[in-house]
Amino acid sequence: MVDLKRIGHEFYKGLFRENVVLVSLIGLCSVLAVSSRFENGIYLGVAATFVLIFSELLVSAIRKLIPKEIRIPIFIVVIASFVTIVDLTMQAYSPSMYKVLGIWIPLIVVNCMILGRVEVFAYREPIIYSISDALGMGTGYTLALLIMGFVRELLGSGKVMAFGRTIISLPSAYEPASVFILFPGAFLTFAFLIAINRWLTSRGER
Amino acid sequence: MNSIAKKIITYAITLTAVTSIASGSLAYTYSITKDRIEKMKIAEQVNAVKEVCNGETEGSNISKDDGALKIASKYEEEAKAVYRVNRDGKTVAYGILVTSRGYGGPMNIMVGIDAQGKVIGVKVIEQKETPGLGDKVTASNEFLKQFLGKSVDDAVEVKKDIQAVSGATISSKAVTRGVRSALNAFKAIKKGGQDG
Repeated sequence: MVDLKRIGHEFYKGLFRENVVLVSLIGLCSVLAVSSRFENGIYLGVAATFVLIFSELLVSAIRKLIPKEIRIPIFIVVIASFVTIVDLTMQAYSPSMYKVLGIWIPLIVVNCMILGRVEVFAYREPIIYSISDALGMGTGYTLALLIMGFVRELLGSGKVMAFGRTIISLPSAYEPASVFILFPGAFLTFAFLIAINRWLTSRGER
Repeated sequence: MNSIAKKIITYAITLTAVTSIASGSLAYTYSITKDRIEKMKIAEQVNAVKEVCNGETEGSNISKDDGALKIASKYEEEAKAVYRVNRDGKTVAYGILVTSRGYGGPMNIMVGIDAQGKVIGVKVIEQKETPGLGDKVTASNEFLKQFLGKSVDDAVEVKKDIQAVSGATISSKAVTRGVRSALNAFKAIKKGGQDG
């Protein structure tokens, strides 16, 4: 019995209403550090989503075989394996990006978002809902990263670049406020995003 | 007691199974990406060689020389790779990759040395220096220019013949030590070549 409506629900909740970054405030370290550039967000978002989907898939598939007492070490092994696969693949096929993201790729292992979703969701729910949950949560994480990266890069350097092309640039009269590239800018942008997201979602509930 | 023993055995078997499957799949991924990662690294280093030996690389081929590295690393353990720039069967320049301990961690530095033993280019390939302070040494042409023309008999030392970037003394010293190591390695290769 597959409940299509529920699949949709598990996906959509991750986008805004239960967004890991903007609502649960999980996995912030990498978000704040990496979002200084828009392009970084694409890569880290895709990498983390990939790890999340496969970790949830695998854990959900073998959840009945995992004894409760040793579930955490098993989760960590599963997550770490997928992260290492991503790490090696990225090193082989996109070394320039690997250099920029550097330590943040291996650190996906300790991203609470992934362990959190695996523990809260995949360990209890069937595969199909777990994948949907992972897709939603991963997309939500990536969205938050992209929006933050976009705003910070635009205000901080006056233009947004991706894959070597300029997507959008402010008129040259605009003096780039480099504070947005630095950490205070990350927190500022983040606060505004949380507020906007709260406002939008609460308006929808009323 | 019996049930505890049973539990322990179940846990052990489960964990062993999970970790062995995990390590198996990792070993597989490693084996298929290993060559490509290595190739990418070499390509990056060859590019660096081209940059530090500018002018000398046109119409020449660049090859990695592991034999020379073996000789060099005996005298200078900071030497990590040796590239020869060959033209018409003669080595016109060397690209020597060295590591040096900077402020924020190891730095990888490519040093180009011509056949006469003079430094013709220095490029920091990888570094973890403080942004805005220590990493100035990688961007400052003024600083890196000071190494040009230095040979193994020069001091190549901060405060003697090299002026450090202000605010980045430790990083400057690290780069200088790196160039020193490369010159030492070059000397060892030359000497090793005569012996053999």
